Amino acid sequence: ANPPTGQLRFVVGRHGQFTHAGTQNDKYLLEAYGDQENSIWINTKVASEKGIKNGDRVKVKSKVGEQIVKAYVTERIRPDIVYYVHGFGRLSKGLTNIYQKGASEAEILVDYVETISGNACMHETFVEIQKA
Amino acid sequence: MESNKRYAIVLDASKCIDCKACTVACKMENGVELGQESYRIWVSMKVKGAFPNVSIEFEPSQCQHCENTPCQSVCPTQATYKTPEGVVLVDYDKCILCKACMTACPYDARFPSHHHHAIEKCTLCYHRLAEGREPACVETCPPKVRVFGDLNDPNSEVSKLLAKKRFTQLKPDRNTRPRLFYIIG
Repeated sequence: ANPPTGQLRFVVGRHGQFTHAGTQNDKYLLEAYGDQENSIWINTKVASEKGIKNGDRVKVKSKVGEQIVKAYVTERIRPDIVYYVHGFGRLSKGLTNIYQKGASEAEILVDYVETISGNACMHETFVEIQKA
Repeated sequence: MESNKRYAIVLDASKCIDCKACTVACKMENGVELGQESYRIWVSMKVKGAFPNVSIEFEPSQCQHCENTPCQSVCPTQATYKTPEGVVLVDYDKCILCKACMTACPYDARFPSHHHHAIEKCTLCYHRLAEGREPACVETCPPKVRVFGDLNDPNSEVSKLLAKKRFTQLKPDRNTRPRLFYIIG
């Protein structure tokens, strides 16, 4: 289904150097990721319509939660989709390098389960974005 | 001392997937300190076009080990020198951190190291070569972007690649004659 008017589909993705908790807190891999926090990818046209510039803080809101995250304005993503990398905005203080840095996608994902396979459907969440 | 070897790296950047294995391997192998300013090698990215016709290009780079060596000619203490095989190195004991070499380098390949109290940069993993091992970035690269070898050996992989492929070098207008060769197309 297409997102309702005014909303965008939020998709989940991991990063080549940066997948699960052990790798997320590795300082060399964090450096290879290239930033100390994650950023939401927004298509250039959509960003300009909403007055969002590269590096702005953006509020991402789904029906279950919201997060504030830095904007990455790019041609590399579809206009109807937004994305930020998994692994930031962690709640565990033990993950010292990423504790409360950037945004967590688990906070805004709506729970859907695919009943035949038992998989979590992680690309079904619709969000609204606005400059924070 | 003369050497019959001329070390070089041939890169096929079109194979690069920007996995950063080379930059991490370089830091681990050479004990390069953490920090975005402390890099012996790096991968830059260029996005071209507009959605949906977008393409992306990566350019892995490092010290170009120039035969005509601006960092060496400006160094007031001769800390920067060339090995017989043409590898450009820094003698940390002689470096006075004047940073003239950083200004002279057209490739921005040098940075001050707190650990060595000197300017440092890529050494082509010179410490590994004597053991017959390749530089860490070459060995670790999953899609094998970099090929290391001896230009004087006509049967080496680098010589064969340069004989049959078209290639370019970074900033050829600077007349630095780098030992890094980038394959085109």
